[in-house]
Amino acid sequence: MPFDTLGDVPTEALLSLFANGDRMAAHALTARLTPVVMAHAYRLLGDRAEAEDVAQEAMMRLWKIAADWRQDQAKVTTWLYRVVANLATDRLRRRKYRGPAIDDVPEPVDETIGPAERLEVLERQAALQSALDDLPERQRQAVVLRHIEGLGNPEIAAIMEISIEAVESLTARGKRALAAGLAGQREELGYGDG
Amino acid sequence: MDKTKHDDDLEAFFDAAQDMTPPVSEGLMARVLDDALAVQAEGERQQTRRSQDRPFTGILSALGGWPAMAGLATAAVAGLWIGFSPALGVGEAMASALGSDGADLYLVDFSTGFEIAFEEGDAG
Repeated sequence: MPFDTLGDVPTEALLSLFANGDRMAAHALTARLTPVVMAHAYRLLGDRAEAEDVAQEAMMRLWKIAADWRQDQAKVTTWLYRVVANLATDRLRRRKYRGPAIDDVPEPVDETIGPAERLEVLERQAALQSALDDLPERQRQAVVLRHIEGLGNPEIAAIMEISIEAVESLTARGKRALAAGLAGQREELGYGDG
Repeated sequence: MDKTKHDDDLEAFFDAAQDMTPPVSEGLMARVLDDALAVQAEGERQQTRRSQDRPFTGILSALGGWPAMAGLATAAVAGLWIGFSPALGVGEAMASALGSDGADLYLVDFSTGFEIAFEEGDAG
């Protein structure tokens, strides 16, 4: 299992070490970035197996570009989010969405909640994923980056290579569409008006 | 639906999504690490091959590449110029120190230590 023992070293510096053949940097980057890449791929694709393929491919592209990486270019994570989005978009265009299976939805972090509450959280996550998957690709990407990954609008603009105003427009439209998509499911999931 | 209610409802869903652990299997981590080490190994093989094909490239790389070579060339030319050009001010300083008009200060004694020893041997 890879491990990140170089937690204080910036990711960009680790990439430089990696390019110079440092094995510890390979371990640290794998441990640090694979979960980030996998999470984003899953949220865009809603399918665990496909998300793993995309995550592995995105990381492979990072390894291959490491030797040519310039320290003054974008953050590594910004670049990776962009690569993941492009790979996910290619896959989405090749397939018709079939909806997330409840077994495919990740487990909640909180271990203290009971089985009934856990099931409810899982259902909410599945509902959100299903509604996200119905959004147009760019809206989905903007909403995921802003409201689930928690990034700021300037970084999202850099990732998506658009203006900040365009990011704001995409997230606003995406949220409206999400709300409409979730409205039908709200009552049965315990998110009713009462 | 008013905007606040709409946002609150969505926030509840976003919170649920942020609370989940993304599924990162050990198999995926192992595959990603294998890829990383394979790319590193390939890079090292190519580096070795380049060094063997063009030894000068290896030396150049060890010295810091072409930018370092340019600096080295500049330093070499500057060194030559400093070596060949007479030091300004030294003549006057020497003249005042030796009480000479300076015309004979550039005379150089080419006698070597060996010649001196030889002459001393003759005298003895």
